[in-house]
Amino acid sequence: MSRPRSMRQNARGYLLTFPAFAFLVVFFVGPLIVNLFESVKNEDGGLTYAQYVRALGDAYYLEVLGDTIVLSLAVTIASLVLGYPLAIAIARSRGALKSFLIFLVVTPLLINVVVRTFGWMVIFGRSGFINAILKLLDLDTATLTGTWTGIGIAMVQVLLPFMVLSIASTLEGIDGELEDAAITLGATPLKTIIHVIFPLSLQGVITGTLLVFALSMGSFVTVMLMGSNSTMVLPLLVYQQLNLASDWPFAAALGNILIFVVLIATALQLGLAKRGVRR
Amino acid sequence: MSNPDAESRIGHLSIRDLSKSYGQTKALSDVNIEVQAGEFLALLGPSGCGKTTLLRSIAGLVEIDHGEVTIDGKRLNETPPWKRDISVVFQSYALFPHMNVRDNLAFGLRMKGVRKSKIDTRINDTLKLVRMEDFKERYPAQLSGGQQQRVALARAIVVQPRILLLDEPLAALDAKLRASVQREIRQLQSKLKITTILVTHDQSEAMSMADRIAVMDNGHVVQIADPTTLYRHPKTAFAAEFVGDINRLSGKMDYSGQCVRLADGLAVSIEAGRPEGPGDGDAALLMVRPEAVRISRTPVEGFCLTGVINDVVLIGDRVNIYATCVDTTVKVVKLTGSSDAEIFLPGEKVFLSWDQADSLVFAA
Amino acid sequence: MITRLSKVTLSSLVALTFMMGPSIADDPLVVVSSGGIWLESAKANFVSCYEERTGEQPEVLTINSSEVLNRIRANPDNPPIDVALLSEIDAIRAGEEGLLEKLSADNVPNLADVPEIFREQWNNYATIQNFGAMIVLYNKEAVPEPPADWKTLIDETIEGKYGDRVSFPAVTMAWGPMFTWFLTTLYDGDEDMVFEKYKEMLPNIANYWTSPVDAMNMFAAKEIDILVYWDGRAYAFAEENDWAGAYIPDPGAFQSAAMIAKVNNGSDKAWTYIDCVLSPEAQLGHSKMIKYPIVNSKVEYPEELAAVLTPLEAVRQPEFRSFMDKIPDWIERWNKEVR
Repeated sequence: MSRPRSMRQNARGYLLTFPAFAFLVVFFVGPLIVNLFESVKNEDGGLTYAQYVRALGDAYYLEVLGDTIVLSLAVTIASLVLGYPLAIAIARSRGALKSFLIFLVVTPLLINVVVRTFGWMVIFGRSGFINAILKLLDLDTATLTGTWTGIGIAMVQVLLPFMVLSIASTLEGIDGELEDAAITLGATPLKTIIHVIFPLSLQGVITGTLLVFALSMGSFVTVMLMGSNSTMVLPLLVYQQLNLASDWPFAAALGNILIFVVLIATALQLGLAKRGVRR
Repeated sequence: MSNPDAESRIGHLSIRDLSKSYGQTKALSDVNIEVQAGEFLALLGPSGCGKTTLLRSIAGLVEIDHGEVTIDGKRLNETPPWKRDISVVFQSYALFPHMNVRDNLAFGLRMKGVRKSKIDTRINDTLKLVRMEDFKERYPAQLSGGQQQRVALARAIVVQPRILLLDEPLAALDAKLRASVQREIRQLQSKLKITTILVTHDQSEAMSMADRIAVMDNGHVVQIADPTTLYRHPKTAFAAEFVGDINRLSGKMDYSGQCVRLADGLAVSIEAGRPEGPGDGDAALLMVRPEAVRISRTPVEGFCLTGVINDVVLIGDRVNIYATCVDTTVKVVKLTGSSDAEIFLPGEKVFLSWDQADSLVFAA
Repeated sequence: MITRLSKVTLSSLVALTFMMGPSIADDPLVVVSSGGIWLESAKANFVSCYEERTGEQPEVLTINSSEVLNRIRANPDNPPIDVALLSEIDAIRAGEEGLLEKLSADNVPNLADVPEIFREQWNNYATIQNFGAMIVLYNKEAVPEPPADWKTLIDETIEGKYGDRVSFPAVTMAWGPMFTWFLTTLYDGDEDMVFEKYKEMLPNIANYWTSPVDAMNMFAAKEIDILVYWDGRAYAFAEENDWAGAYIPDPGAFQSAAMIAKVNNGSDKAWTYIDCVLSPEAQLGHSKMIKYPIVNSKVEYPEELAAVLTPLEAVRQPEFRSFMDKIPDWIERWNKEVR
């Protein structure tokens, strides 16, 4: 109706985002800029890209970067496959059951990482739960500690809630009659999920995969505690360079490479999503 | 038509002794309904009467506790909803927002394994029926409410269901549009001869569209009848009041006088032999439709009520006259300009009477 | 609109400046401690002494060495910490970068009783507060006769004598470089040899540990039989569990220490706190609680305490400056080769 008024309301809306905006500038963009300078600064104050040459010109660092991306992709896909049915269950339950399910999914986040890792050790360990069962069944025992599989499983456990809650929140917004409509038109429950529910929950799937991918690209504590030297990821290298080698420029360069990869992945995913959702 | 199943698509629906409870609440109790092939039945009742639960039970979206649903003699209880050949038009239309009109229609055909070559023809034919053939590429969000409604109807009939269920399909439309859509649906239905069940709380919608109406109250089917019978001979006070306007006067049954005695002692004589009526001396409800009531300034022969005009409202072709008699307000409806629709003024004393046959008597 | 926005921006900036601006002169002294029992000891022994002397309560942060270094590096003119607790190498770095102020008996009278050895590598910019050593914790049931010296332990591990139930610290563990230096001293200073041994041990090693808590959990869960670990915790564990034993393999162990230092431009009250830390009473109290040796030569340990403390003669203090600059290369080599 009255354009100027709505514009003013918009402006007021933007004004309300100012604290968040200022917070991000000071605590997020600022450090990123500092980080960028740190990575290209040489000893006498000039500019150099030597740190990037060092990182990207070395097969080892490229391999670690590759492993990091593969691990994050695997964790993201596993979280999606495991998380989707869970999200459906949460979106459909009501009342106390719903709260209980959400609590169950979020629990791993409430537990200290060292305790959680110890738990996995008890389960994965040589004389752990899984091997005890394998022995009972007279099967070969398996070592999961210090392997990519073990790390992947432990990471999925922590990152699953991000996937599940993003998807569940979009599922809850889907009109229940759409499902009834699909079913009465001859779609089995599985086909209903594939053709109707899943496409409509794409927004949540995208949010969830972006979150999980970015978080796994940046996580190193689980890898540090559960992995070995043969399971190295880029953020752990950054951590080592900062805290042990005290090589800040190299740490900054590695960090920037990590950020760059996550940004590319995010852009790719959003591009795909736009094509998928259309309109 | 190239429809080998045409024979089996007749669509005779039987509902026998159907019951359904949600916890302690009985949503449906012992419902029995027969719907003939090609018939248009309306389930009419206030919200919470169980009509939507009944519709969802027929579609298989609700698991029933007891009873049986059959189509053409085949028991459906164990058939999952996606194999029932029953289409539903939902109140929210439930169009798939991520598909355009064409894909919305194609969905059911694909799910039922209709050959690709036939899909396009059937979609085009059906869209033509609902006059939406120019909107194939549009998405639901780009359509008006009336257009969405027509697409939802097209999507339901394109799969050639044995039964078509309409769940308050017009509730979201504005009043002006509703009347024309009602007529369109009715015409379409009689053209396609699909057995159709309409759920509605709007008695005029039920009356204008359906061949027969099942009035529901509190999980029970109160009466199933064609609109005229239902209007003229409602079996219960509930049915009488739910279908059309009616005046209610309370009194006592008096079989010796073959009349109902109103509170002020006035006896209104009634027709002989009402098996379902109240017993002698019991409290009784006497009901009469507003258009059956005669009104005059002078007393007439036989019984007549004395009243005082309360209000006179002119509604286009009709005049509604409200008169206070004894302890209730009696509504009288006359055509504007008809001989006995002289303009009465509030405060005037009048005399009201009606034919003995127009008195409906129920237990109070 | 623009003017209104800029007003908001301005006032927020002003507010931010105030918030981040110089702290008020009478702030409490800020000191650092490790967590857990270390924090309890710091409160019971050091803080109480400081309170007695000044009537003031210091603020105790529990952050690790690299965090301390990062914080004082970030704000050298107005450091957020007055008394730093640092690892040996971080202390040397901080001293060289001018982030610390030299200790002397004038400022810290008790320093006179701290032998030179505990501070000379740091040019008096920091002093050891307490020290420990890396020794062997083992499962008596699985390994009744553990090897007497380090080299045998390493060779027998390579031979597979202990299955793959041995855990050594990783080079990337905070004190890993010091342990690596210690191993080079056993092999005539040959780094290549040490890395070769690390590599050869790999197939028969449960893991090279980076997290002390996790390593101890693994041992307690009997997932491993031999663990190279801190003496204090190892002795304590062996004392509580009959099946576990702890000992110092020949020819001894390397010394690892917690360094205390006064941050340059920090409050002068820091001197008092450091003097408290080094006082005989506080030192003994501290040693009793954490079961690690301390540095004040006036302290005499009671017998039962002396029994579980690694004697000074058995530890070698690393020559930090001889390998400090090699650490980044070692880490890179470790990452690339030992996997």
